[in-house]
Amino acid sequence: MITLLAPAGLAAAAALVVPLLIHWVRRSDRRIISFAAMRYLSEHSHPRERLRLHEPCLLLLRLLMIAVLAVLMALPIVRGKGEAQSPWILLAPDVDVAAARAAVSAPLAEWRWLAPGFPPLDGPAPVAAAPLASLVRQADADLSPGTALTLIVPEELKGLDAERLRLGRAVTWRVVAGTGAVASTPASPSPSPSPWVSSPSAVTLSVRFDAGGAAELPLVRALAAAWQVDGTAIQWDIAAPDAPLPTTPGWLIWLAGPLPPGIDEWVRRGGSVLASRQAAGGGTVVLRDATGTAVLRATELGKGRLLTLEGPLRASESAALTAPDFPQALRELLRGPPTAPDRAPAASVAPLLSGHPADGPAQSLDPYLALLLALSFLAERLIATRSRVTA
Amino acid sequence: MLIPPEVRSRLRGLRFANRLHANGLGLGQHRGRSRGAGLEFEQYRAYEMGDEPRRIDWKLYSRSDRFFVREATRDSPLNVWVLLDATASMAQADAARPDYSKFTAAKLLAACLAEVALLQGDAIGVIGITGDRVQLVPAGVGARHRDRLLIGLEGLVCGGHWPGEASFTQVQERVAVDSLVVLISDGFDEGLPVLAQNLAATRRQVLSLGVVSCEERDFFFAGGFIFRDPETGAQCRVDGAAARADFLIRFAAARRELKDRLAQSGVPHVEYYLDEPPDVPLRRILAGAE
Repeated sequence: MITLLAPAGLAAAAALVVPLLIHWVRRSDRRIISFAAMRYLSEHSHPRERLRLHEPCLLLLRLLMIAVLAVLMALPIVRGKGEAQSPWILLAPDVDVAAARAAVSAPLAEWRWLAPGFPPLDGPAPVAAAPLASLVRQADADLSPGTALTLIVPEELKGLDAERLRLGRAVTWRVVAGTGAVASTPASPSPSPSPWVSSPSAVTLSVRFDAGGAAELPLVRALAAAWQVDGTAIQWDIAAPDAPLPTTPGWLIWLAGPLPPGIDEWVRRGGSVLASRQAAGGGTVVLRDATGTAVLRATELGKGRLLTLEGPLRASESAALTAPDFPQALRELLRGPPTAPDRAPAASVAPLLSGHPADGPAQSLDPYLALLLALSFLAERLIATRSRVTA
Repeated sequence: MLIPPEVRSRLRGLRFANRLHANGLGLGQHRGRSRGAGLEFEQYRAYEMGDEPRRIDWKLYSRSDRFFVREATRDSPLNVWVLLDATASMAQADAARPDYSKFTAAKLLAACLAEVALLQGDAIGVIGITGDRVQLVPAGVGARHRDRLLIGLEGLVCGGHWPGEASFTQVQERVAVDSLVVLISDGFDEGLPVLAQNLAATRRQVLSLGVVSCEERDFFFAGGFIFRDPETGAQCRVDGAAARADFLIRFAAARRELKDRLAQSGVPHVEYYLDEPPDVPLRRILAGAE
C-alpha cells in the first residue's frame, strides 16, 4: 500500500502544463505562404481546433519526468504487510539484564536494547540518552503487525513525553528492577511529597568583581537575599576576576568589565551569567524600564545563557532594577526555561491500544523514483538531441 | 533571360505550324494567304480587268477560248504573339526553388518561343498583361530582334489583377488577324478563357500554356500554415495534411474544367510544371497545333 507523506507535493504536477504548452506553442508558429490556388481549398481544410502536439514521444517523456518529480516531492512510502517475525523483547538501557532474563522466559525471541537502531543484547548496554517513548513508538511502527513485542522497563521510566504511549499492537509490559540508584528509590519511599517534580535545589552563585564592581555588590546581596527568602539555597563564591570559575557551571555575576575569553565555553556547558557594564551588543531585550529603554539583554548559548547590562548593576542606575518583581524575573532568566516532566513510575504508564493497527514497516520509494527519473531524463536528452534527417 | 544550352539544342526540332494562313509580309515557311506568281499552283480564276496580261494562261485559252489567270500561293512568315499573364499570382514560386517563380518560367517559355520563331524567320512579339497597363515588346524578325526581345522580357514585371475586358481591345488591335497567339498564364484568372475565346473567335490561332507549381500539383504541405492569396490578400489557416486529398481533387477538377473551356473555343491547353524543362510543354503544344 502506497502512502504519500506530503500529498501537497503533488501540486507540483501543475507543472505538467509547461511541456504541453511548449509542444503546443511550437506548433502555432506558422509560416505565411503565398499561394494563389488557395481558392481551391475546401472549407473543411481549416485546421481543426483540436490539440495537436509536436514530438509526442518527447512530450510523454517530459510529462513523465515532471510527474515523477511531483510524486517524489509527495514523499511516497510503501507499507508492506510483512510476515510475522519472531517476537521481540526490548530492554530499556537501565534494566538489569540478568533480572530481565529471569523475569521473561522466551527462548525464541530476539533480545534487543531499546536504543537507536535497536542493537542486540550481546553488545554493551547503550547510554540512556535517547527519548524512550519515541523509541517505543518507532519499534511499534517498524515491526510487522503480527510480531509480538515485549518491553522490559525499570520501575522508574525516564525519557517520556507529554503524550501517553498508544501503540498499534498489544505489548507485554514487564517492569523489573533497574540498575541505577533511581530505580531503588521507590523501594524506600521518599519523604518528598512528589519526587517526580524537580525542586529548586541549591545553586552556586559566583561573583567576580573588580574595584569598579565593588559598588555594585550591595544590589547583588539584596538580590540573593530576595532569592533566599523565596527558597533558593545559595552557596556564595565571591572572588577577584582572575579566580577560576567552578567546574560545574552555575550562576555567575560578573562585575569586572569585559567578559574573559573562556566564558563562552563555560556558558555553553550550562552556566548562566549576568554581566554589568557591557557594550550594547546582540541578544533579545528581556527587560525595559518605564521609558522603554532596554535594560537587560539575553543571549542563549548552548545550554546556558548570557544576560548583559549596559550600565552598572546599581539601584540608582535604573528604576527597573529596584522594581519589586525584579529578583523573581532575574531568577527565572538565570534559571532558564523549565524542563518538562519526563519521568514516571513504569507501572502507571503502560502503553494503551491506539485502536489503529500498526501499519508495518515503511519503505521509501525514492531510490526507484530517482532511477526512473534519471532514465527518463537520459532518454529525453537522447531523443531531443538526436540528429534529425530533415534539418 | 538565358535559355539553358541543352534546352536550346532541343528547341531546334520544334517548329510553329499554323492552321490558318500565315499573314506575314515577305517570304516565309508557312502557307500564306497571298497569291500571285509563284511555284505552288493554287487555282485558275477568270480574268478580271487589271490583271497583268502575262499572267494569263495562254495554253488554257487555246483550249477553252477564255482568259484564265493562273494563281500560285506564296509561303509567308507567321506573326507570333506571346501573351504573358503578369498578374501578382504569377510571382509564386516553389519553396524548394524560390528563385524560379511562375513569371520567370513564363518569361523563359517566351524566350524559347522566340528562339523557335526567329529560327523559322517568323515575327514574334510579347505582351505582358497586368491590371494597370499592357507591357509590350513589339513583334519583329531577325537576330537583332531576339536581343531586343530578351531585353524587353527582362524588363517585364508582374503585379496587380487581371484587367477588365476593356483593355482587351488593345490586345486585339496589336495582334493582327491570322496571327498565332500563345497565352502563358497560371490559369487562375477568370478573364483568361474569355480573352482566349475572343481571340480565337476573331480568327487568331490561340495556344494556351498553364504554369503550375509543384506545390499546387503535389501539395506536400505538412503541419499548419497560413496561405495568402497574392492578388486579393485574403488569408486562411490550413492544416496541410488534412487539406491535401481534397485540394488535389478540386485542383485537378479546376484544371480539367479550364482545359475543357478552352477546348470549346478551339484552344489547346498544356500544363507546364515548374520542375520540367521548358521545352517539354512547347513540344507538346506545338505538336498538338499541327
